[in-house]
Amino acid sequence: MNDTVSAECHPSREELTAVQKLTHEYAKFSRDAVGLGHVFGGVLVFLLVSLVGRDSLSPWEGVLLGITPFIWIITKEWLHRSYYQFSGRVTQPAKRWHDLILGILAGLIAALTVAILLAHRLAQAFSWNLALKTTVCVAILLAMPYLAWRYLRAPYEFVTGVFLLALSAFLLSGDLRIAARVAGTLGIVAEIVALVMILAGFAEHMKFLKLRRKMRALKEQA
Amino acid sequence: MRTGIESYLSLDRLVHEPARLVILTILAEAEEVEFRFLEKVSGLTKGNLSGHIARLEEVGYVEVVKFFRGKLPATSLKITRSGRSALKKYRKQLNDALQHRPTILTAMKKRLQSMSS
Repeated sequence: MNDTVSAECHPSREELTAVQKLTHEYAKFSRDAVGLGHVFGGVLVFLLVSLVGRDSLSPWEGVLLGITPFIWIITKEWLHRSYYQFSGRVTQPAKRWHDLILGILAGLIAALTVAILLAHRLAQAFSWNLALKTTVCVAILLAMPYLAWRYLRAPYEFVTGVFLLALSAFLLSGDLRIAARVAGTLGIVAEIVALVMILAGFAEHMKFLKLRRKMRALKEQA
Repeated sequence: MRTGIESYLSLDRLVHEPARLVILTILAEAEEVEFRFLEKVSGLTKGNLSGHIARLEEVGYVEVVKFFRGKLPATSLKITRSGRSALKKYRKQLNDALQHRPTILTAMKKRLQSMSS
């Protein structure tokens, strides 16, 4: 291999731009573009808001519904790492400030929710059951900034993700009445964002299918 | 100010080589790129690609990261700061050279004429 200039078969500016664009689009699916993960998250918001609002929910049903946001995050990450990165991992350049700001914002929301919850609980008579419920709820809420910083980096998924995690904290701690109240008051906002998220997810998935066809064609050419 | 021909002659040959130019262009678009992706998009064979990567690593334009995915070894690449600035400089020089293309042709014609007379 030498360092001489080979004039023949030198890539043209158009070819280089095409390669650049392809890499950029593919890398987006490692982070910003969530595709089916957005669709799943959006559907989950509609499902939880409609089910949590019911009075007939049993504590076990609450637990089952409470773990669904975590299943969503795991599925979303699997889509990012495997399904959408079918031809090897290509990571998008990190947006450190953006991620930090989202983490801080989630921290503020979590701190506010914990403060309201503790003020409410301290007014009640002490019982071990209540202490356990509060601990579970506070632990999930305190994990929220980390989860937002690490996994909820797209704007839509941040809004719905924080809502789902807050709902999950109350469902897993057995506070079904508070969960119903959260779903009742913030549910409509979360549903509007979820609707946009579903549409954006479909659009991203269509882009991905186009990209995959393009890359398969490249393989056949080679 | 450089003339077109000077810009053309001062191009970084290491970046100007077609395969290496494609590799650097791909790497510049992402934080980390797995070897598998580079192989597919560049259309180069494994051996050829490894050779060019070794050359780029030698001059400090790329960083090679080896890791295991389960039990299988895998390789990832990152463009370094000097690799990124070399690519940027190369693009600028090439643009300058292309802008002065008529001057280059005139200079070459003059030289040919003086050689023949």
